[in-house]
Amino acid sequence: MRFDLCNFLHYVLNKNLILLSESQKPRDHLIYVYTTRRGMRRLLALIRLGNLFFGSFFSDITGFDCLPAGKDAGRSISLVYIVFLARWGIKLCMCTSLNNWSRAPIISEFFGGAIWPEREAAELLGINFANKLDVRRLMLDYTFEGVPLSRQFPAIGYEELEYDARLQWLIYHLLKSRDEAELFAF
Amino acid sequence: MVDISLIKESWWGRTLCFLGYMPLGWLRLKFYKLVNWARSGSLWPVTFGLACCAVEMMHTAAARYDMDRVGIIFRASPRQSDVMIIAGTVTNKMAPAVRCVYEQIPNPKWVVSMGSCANGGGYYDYSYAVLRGVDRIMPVDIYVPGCPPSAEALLYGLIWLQRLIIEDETSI
Repeated sequence: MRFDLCNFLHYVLNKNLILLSESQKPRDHLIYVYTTRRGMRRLLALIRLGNLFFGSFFSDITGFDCLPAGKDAGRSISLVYIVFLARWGIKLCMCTSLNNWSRAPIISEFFGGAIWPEREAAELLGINFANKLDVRRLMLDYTFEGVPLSRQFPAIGYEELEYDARLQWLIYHLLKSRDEAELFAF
Repeated sequence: MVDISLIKESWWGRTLCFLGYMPLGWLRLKFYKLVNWARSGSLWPVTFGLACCAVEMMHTAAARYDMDRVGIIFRASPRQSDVMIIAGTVTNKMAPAVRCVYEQIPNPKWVVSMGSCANGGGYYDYSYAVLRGVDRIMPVDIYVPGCPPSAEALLYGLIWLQRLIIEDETSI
């Protein structure tokens, strides 16, 4: 019997699978799955620990800001895990939604290579991970405040660094020419 | 006993002082030139390659352009060097380390800013995490433009620095 990956995903995720339509069947070796946090963790554990997905590896964690639903709606993030299923040559993208209060599941317990992507996602996207193993900053400065990859954060930032001759050390101060730089009006 | 004020106020006194001081000044100048010539001919930079410009810096030290023939030998320790070549993008996280290394170089010291990122932010000037020019945290003597500047351009900048050192008559 020919193995059908989509039906298998339906079976595994069952009630946790929100959307996997006919149009999203394996085409160009890419599958998008929208699911809950629990279903995603279950599927990723199965991919890592099960014999059926032998040779599969974790690729990346990414995410993007969703447009706010209402005026007072909090921030909504779509978190995407990308896994490559080597047996079928398929890239599986699993997407789930988070808000300001929900915490994403960690997968670094069974995917060791996910430690750095989790640190990166927590730092740049502002995603809260539950029981994160490594809480250190990866790329940004230790005193940096803000979420750089969110929609509200300006690309140029709010502060810049300069040397203070009186204090004889580097200090941050507010960006003076931010408006001019953003509008390219010099 | 001749009163010293009489010497200073008289024309013959001032003439005698000028004629006596002139050889000393000439000697002082020649000595400065000798020391500056020695310093310019043996510039030892501390290795501080940060990004893509570091590869061009390696090219300058490699066989075709060979910085060693003008006396430039890279040193791993800032305590043993007298010039710092900032080759690459300086991020806000890296800036304290750059300043710390600069302060460990003994005087006299010079700084060469290599590439558009070190000169003024460059390609990443509008980024939240990039220092917009290394001259915000330390004084720079030579700016080498380019993205990246060619190995020949860096060598030209270093030769210009040598000229700047030789022609400096104000300090030793």
